[in-house]
Amino acid sequence: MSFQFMESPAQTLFWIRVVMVMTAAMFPAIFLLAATIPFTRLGVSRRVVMFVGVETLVVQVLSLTSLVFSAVGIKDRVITPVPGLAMPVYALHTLAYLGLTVFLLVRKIRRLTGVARKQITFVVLGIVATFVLATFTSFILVVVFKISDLVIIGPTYSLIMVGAMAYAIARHRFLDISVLVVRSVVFSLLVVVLGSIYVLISVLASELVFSQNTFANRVVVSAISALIIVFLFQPLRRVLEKLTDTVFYKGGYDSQKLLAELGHIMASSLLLDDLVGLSMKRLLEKLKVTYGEVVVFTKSGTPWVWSPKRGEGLRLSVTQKLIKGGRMMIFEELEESPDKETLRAENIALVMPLIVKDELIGGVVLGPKASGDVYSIQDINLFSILEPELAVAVKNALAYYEISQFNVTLQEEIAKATAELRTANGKLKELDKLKDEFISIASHELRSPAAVIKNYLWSVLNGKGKIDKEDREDVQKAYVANSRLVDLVNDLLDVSRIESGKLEMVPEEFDMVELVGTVGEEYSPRAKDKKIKLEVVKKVAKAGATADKNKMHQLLANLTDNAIKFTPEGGRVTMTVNVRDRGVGVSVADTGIGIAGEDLARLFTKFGRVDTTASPLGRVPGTGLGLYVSKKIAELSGGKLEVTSQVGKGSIFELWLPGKM
Amino acid sequence: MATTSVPPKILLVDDDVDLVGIWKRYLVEGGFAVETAHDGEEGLVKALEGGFSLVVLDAMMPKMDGLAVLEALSKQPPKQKNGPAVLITNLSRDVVSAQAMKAGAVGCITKVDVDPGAFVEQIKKFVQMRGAG
Repeated sequence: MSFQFMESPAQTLFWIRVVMVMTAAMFPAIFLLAATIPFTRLGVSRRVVMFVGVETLVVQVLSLTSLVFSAVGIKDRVITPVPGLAMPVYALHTLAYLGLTVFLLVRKIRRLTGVARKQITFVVLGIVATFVLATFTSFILVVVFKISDLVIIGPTYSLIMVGAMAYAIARHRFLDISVLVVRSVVFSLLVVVLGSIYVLISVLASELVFSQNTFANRVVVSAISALIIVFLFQPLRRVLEKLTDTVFYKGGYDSQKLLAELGHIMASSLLLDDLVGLSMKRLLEKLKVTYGEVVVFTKSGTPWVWSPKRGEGLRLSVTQKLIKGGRMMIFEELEESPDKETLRAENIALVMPLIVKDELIGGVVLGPKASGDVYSIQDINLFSILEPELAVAVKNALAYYEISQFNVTLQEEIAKATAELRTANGKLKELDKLKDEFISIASHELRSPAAVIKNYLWSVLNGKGKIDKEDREDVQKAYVANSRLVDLVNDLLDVSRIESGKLEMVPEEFDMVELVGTVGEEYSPRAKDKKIKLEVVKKVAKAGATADKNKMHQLLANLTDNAIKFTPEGGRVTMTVNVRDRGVGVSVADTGIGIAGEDLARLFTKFGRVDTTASPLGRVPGTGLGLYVSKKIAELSGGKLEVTSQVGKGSIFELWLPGKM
Repeated sequence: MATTSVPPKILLVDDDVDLVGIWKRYLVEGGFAVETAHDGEEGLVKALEGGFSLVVLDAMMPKMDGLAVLEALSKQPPKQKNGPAVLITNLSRDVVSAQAMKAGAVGCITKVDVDPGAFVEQIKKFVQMRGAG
């Protein structure tokens, strides 16, 4: 508060009063500031603000009157204002706000932690220092000791306050108005530069081009200058911004742009390596961070780590522990603690855990910035926006990685299973082959003695030697039994080959009419023996078919044999051959005992014999395989074998084969 | 054509002694001269002598089976010409039949399917097929 030396006491008094008006507002303002810092939102309610405003206004009005300073005496260039009646009011007003401010600031210092506390501390110290000194020199010295000489240096104290605030701004991010400061500098420079250019142009123009200082000339010069300024404004501003950026704002970057870039990187890859690697590289580059690492927790237990140099990095146990703390840690803001010790020891400046839906999936660990500066509010804001995006991207990449790992495992399992199946299949094939060989050898072995028996018994039966009736019958029975044995072996062999799909059919063109005739002839002795009338009906003279002739013979023989077997004496068996449905049809009908409904279903199955013990025939011999083989033969030849029957009346077996191909 | 008094010679090669015995009996009754062998090697030696109207070979024999004998015969002609060859077997007919035909036999008989009478009939048919020689 320096007093201008004015000519009259009245003027001096006036100016003193003006100063008092202004200072009346100062302490309330500082109080409001104290309530707010270090944050940016007003720390008191609107009502309080209004009260303060009104009260201040009242005091200001009082200051203008003679109630505060009533007069002023000037003697030997020393100004001594005379306090009025309301001076105590003023003093109270001032002290009250000062007291409140101090109280608020002290409370804040005690309440806040970390960097906020540091900011407040510096600011408070600055203010306190300033005011203590100001009070001392401008008030105590003047009033108590009557020394006014030092009042002159009063204003310099504010430098202390400003200096402290500046320090808080620069070192501790106070109010984070560094951007504002820089922009203000830019703007000021801009104004200065443009103004100079305008002046320069005007002067040059008027001196060099328009020598005559007419109105018209002046207008023209002004217009041209103005136009030039207008066009120069934007480019000039950009240049200055760039300049100031490089000078003041060394670590500058565009948050929006960087976030967009990182977002793009994160969206462009599902591979954990690429995603984390590329985005970290960009981040470290742009923010000029010395060092950074990313840890991602995996299901397998071993965390996945990215570091700028593969294989080198901080100790995993350390980084894991810090990340598992679950909260963002900034070195400067931490209280002294074991964690802070760890950060100091490992030279870590920032720990940012990555959390998705309350699940901690990993974290980012950063070293200090290259410039040695702390992480600015811009940086911290960037991180807080980046963290959820990065966390989700990492989680997705991790899921993708785990799925592809699973896929690899799955593939391996499939390959293993396939190999096992192949081996099993190979073994089965081996087994099948062995079975075939066995059956082949077995049937061959069985047939040898059967052939001997057949020949010798036949020899006895047809020999010249005389045998009595009983012996003949005995031998006959043996011969028949042996035939059955041979049939059984044949059937077993057929069945085995059908089952393994090895039944060889050698198709040839033949006349079915002829074949039916042959079979009829073969079985007529047997039919005659049983007094059964065997008839062959040829509906056509010739019926060509393409199939394995031997197998067809076997089939027809089977049907005829059955017909005779299951028909009692005096019955009839009719074999009919015809051409129908673009093929050849043969039916073998008998007047036998017939087949009941439930037996029909089992008729063509293996060993599906009809129990005839109750019938007039008694037990009928047979292997039970004949019809199974016959049906298979029919089907493998592209035809079908069907039966219709009525118990007591008889059965009709119908074979159909496709015609000549 | 005048009938010769020399009966046609049949070479019967089979390791089943009993079967060979009874067949020989019936073949002789049927008017044939029969020589026998009990394995492929012996059979080949006799076949190479030649002069048989029909060579009957068992498909499965020790030392050398019927098909091998046929192959050997086709490579090495006998001293005297032989008639056709027939294969006899107890294996599945269709399996052996195809192989037999390929090797140059004219027929295949399943042993267990024929009784002595039928066997002799079949032999007679085969001999007549190519003419006695």
